Amino acid sequence: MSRTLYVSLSILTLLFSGALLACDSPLLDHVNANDVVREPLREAGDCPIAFPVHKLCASWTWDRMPTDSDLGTAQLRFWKADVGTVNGPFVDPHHEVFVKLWMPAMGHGSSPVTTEARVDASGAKIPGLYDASKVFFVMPGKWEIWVQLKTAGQVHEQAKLDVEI
Amino acid sequence: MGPPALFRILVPSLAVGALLAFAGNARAAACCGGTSATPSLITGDDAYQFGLAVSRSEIIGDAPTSGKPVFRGDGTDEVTTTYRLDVAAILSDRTQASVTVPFVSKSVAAGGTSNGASGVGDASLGFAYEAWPEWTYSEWKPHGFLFTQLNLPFAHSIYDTEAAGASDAFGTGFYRLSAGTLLRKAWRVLDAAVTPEVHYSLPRAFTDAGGSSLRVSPGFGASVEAGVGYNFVRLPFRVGLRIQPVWNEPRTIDADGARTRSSAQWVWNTGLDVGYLATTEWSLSASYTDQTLLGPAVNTTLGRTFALSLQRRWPR
Repeated sequence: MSRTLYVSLSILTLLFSGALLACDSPLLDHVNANDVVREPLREAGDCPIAFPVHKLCASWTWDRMPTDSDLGTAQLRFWKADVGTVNGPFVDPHHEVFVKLWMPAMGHGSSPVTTEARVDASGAKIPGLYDASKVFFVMPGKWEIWVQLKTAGQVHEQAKLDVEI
Repeated sequence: MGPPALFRILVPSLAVGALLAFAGNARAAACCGGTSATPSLITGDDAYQFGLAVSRSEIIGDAPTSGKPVFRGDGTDEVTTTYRLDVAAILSDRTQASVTVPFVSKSVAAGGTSNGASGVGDASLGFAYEAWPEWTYSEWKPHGFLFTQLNLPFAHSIYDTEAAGASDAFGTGFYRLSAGTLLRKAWRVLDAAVTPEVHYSLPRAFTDAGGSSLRVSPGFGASVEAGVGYNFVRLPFRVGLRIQPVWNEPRTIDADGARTRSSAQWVWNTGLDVGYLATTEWSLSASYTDQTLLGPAVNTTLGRTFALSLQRRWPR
């Protein structure tokens, strides 16, 4: 090996090793997703998701909590703020219900969530009960789950839950 | 100047030119979808340059706004394969233009479910001016170009993704204009290059799958790439190392009557390049780019990319 190449490689190796150690290298200082324990979503109070304009409350209950490797599914329930509770009676919000995922730090969302009204055995819609599926977070971190009440594509009211994936 | 001395200058220059033209584009992209902000440049005495490249990029982890990066588990797999075509041509003695068109195939696997999508990615148009030509050899004066590039958002982005797992989000979603300079110098077997650039992404309105509209203003960003290389005298090979910090300012999002701001992004690209100069007209390159080696990494995905490139040049 020529002297020039040897000296060059030695200097580069030293510089690179120093940079690796000094500069917050993700490779040297990180956690693995499998070792991260996430707190389950804890809804607070009698009205976890409040829609004051429509005088409604809603709750979000995970059937399967999403992780960075699993899709999630959840149930949404709506009731009147002044007469109902998280256990019912449930009411139709009289708007289309959409769920939007948003990552505030990155300034973007995720792939679309499917939200469908739950139906009974005869196929009739059950008031106030919705299933959210294909809940997928494109990356781990702090996310917002926005529940939107829409008509003809216009958002009439929305409220959010904070979750960490 | 005799043939041996000319060879010591010419071969490294050709190798540097051939490899810089490709290596500058072989970067792992930060979330979500991305392209290089520097165009394909003719840095040698060539009239036309045609390049074909294939790269495979895998997301290894994610760096939050604060706290330690999280490396993804075994159950998650996000891989993007890109086939890229670069064409560059001189317009006059010191000006040139280029076009880059990628074809992207992306797959996202999570929890036993796999989703994939393919299509044309964001194309780009470039223009460069040889501001500091190398007409005579100088021990210190660099060979330099001023360049500008326009990114054309042909592909879906994370803001208008329609596919499960956002597997069709392999574009930036924005018209982005970048401007910078390439300065390079070769001394016998060693070479060095530095490429600072600034870019600005134009605001754009999107309609997501739920019918909601939002307007995103990404704003400014910048990067500086610095590289060194060693050119083997008896063999037509070059080995190079490069580092590139990349910064993007917070994005402004207007949606549903509210305005929010994201956080800024920082990521460091480190790369290793090996080039083979088959002839003065043909070259083959292999490169590896890693975003997990250097930091700090803030508010970004972290990926690793392997790439192979074949380049054909036509002399003037």
